[in-house]
Amino acid sequence: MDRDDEQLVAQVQAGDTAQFGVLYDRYIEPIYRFVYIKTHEKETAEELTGDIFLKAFDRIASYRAGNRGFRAWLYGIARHRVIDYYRRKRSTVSIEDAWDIPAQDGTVQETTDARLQFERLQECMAFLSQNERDILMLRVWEDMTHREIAAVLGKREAAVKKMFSRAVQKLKVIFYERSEIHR
Amino acid sequence: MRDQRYTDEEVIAAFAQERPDIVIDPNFVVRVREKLSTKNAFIFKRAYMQKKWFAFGCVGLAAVVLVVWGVLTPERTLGAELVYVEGAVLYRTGGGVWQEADVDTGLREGDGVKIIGEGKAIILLDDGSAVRLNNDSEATLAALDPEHMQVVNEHGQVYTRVVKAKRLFDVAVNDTIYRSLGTAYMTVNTDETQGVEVYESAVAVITSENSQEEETVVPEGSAYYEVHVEAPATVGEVTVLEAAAVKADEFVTWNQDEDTEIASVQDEVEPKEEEKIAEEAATVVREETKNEVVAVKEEVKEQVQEIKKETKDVIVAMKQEAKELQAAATPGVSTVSRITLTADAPEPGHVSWAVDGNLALGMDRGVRVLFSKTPNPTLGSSLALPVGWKNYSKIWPKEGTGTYYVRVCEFLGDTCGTYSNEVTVTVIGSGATGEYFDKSAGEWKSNRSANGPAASSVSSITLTADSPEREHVSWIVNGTIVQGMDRGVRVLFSKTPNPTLGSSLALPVGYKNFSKIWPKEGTGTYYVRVCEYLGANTCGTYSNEVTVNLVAPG
Repeated sequence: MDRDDEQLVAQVQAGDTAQFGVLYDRYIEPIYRFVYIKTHEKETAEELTGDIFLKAFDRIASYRAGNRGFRAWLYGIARHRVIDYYRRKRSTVSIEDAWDIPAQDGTVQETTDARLQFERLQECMAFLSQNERDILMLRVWEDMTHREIAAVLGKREAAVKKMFSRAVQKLKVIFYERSEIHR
Repeated sequence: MRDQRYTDEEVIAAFAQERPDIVIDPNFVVRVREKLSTKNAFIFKRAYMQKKWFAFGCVGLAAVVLVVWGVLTPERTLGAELVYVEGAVLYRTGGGVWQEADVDTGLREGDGVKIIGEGKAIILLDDGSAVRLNNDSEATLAALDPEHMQVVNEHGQVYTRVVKAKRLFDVAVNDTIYRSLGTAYMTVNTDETQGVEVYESAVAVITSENSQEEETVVPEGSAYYEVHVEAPATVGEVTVLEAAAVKADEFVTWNQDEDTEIASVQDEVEPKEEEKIAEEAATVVREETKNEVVAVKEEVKEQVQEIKKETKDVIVAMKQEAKELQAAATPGVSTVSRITLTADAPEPGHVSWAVDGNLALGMDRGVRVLFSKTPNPTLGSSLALPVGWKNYSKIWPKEGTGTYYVRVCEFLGDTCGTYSNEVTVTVIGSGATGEYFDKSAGEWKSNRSANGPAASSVSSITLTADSPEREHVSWIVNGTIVQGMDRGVRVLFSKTPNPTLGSSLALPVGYKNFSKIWPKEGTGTYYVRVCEYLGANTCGTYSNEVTVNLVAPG
């Protein structure tokens, strides 16, 4: 998949901009999903996802693969866009995605099932730092390698592995106590 | 000490099941596609271009020519990228339109960067040198030739940290060139002041009026101005920088902080780099001919440049990581004076609370909800439910239905700090006794038979491998799954046939009818069954058995 991405990017940079459509089709859903989980709102997720792809298209001329690959580059843009959105929205408080927002400001999901899913997830996410949340989501839900995640977050691979391990240990406590509740 | 009864793999598998189902609106997908199409007429309109193959052919041929040209004429110039952005930072490609810049924006020869108003930016060149811009400044990467690098200070304050190498490094201010003879200096180009201030090593001043042999050298700790409205007597002279003025200059002290961090890491890195280079060169000399020695040294030189470039990234990452670790390891201070608890808020069966003051921040901190059927529940005698940022919690019927006494406390590690008032909450229904919460009715209902475990009405479960995609299984239940806590479906998988609850990993599944099979025992073929779980470590109806092959990630 990574080699395909690089070939497509090279073609776009060479002038065949129609190939960006292939990249768009490939990544619109996973990027939207990533942004939605971080914002909890359909309208906000749609607005930011649209911005992300417009920005990616504008900047693709200056894209250089290096060690990270197109997917990590794109997720990096997505992550920065969400952080930027919340920083402008709440300039006096350190909020970088919706999981940082106290419950009274929480958003309402569209269906009861979705609300229950997010409520369950809140119990995990509330105890994790923003980096730990992103690393878990990207590793477990998006199947990214530690190396790619390091490129997305702008960190060393070793630091990502350490944070992932720490996040898993935190989840153990949460799941253990949840199982106690359900006994 | 908690009983950590889950393995890492089980936790990861459980977290994987937590992923919310997100469905994208297809109309949204179309809208964004249309927006992109307005940016470029060729994008996405393949269907409409079917009659215009000639136009496509020309574009394709041009693309092929460009790609081949790119291959045959490898880039001779270095690149750069923005590694720090603060405030309104813009960039442009060549002489093009100014666009919003961000961290990781790649730059090439001819590109420009500017800051509008307050802000800062750091451009890291591929040779490891750094160009840093202050408020209201603009710089152009005029030449990124590995033999001769040139930056133009179009306006404002531009600080340059130059890596020692055998090549020329110039910063131009109007017609004057400030050539690095060492490492760190700042050029200034405003209406009031034009010149250079040298903070490390030296800079040569080359103007149209002098030759290189007569060039003025500005040593460390000195300045040279072509224009200085406030001190006209210093124009054209090498003058000493006043220490007080340097210390008071926020941009200069910021740059010196950045340089200090780089130096502290380079002290560790450079000896190792030189050791590595010397070792490789010695090996080559022993085994290769003279031409091969030259080729390998060029390759090592490139690797060293790459390592120096990565050093800057490492420093930034280390700073951030240290900050996070310190925040995690150093619990904050609590200023909580009171916690007010309200029963049945925001809805029945819940409690919510308001905190006067600030909770201590850090790992192993937060708020604990203590609830029990006996008054004054404490951490030790009742279930503590850790809560993060939420200010409400549902009271689960841990001890069955009935009235619970509830308190909330600020958790300070092993102990509680401030406690709230106590309230009572009536909890309806209990999974322990075989009840389930009927979402549509909004109430708990019993599904227990008179004696023993709940009766099952499932007659069969049909399991399919690699559905809905590879390395997954999905199932169809004939009958109704017994509802309630500690019920549902268990996916049993193992590398040995007929996996059971006891001998293999049981993965509790909620509403979904599919699951991914995780490589708990490594890659290979897994035997998979699904059963209806009836609680008390008992399975009811089993499905057929299938096999799923797990391969290593590609």
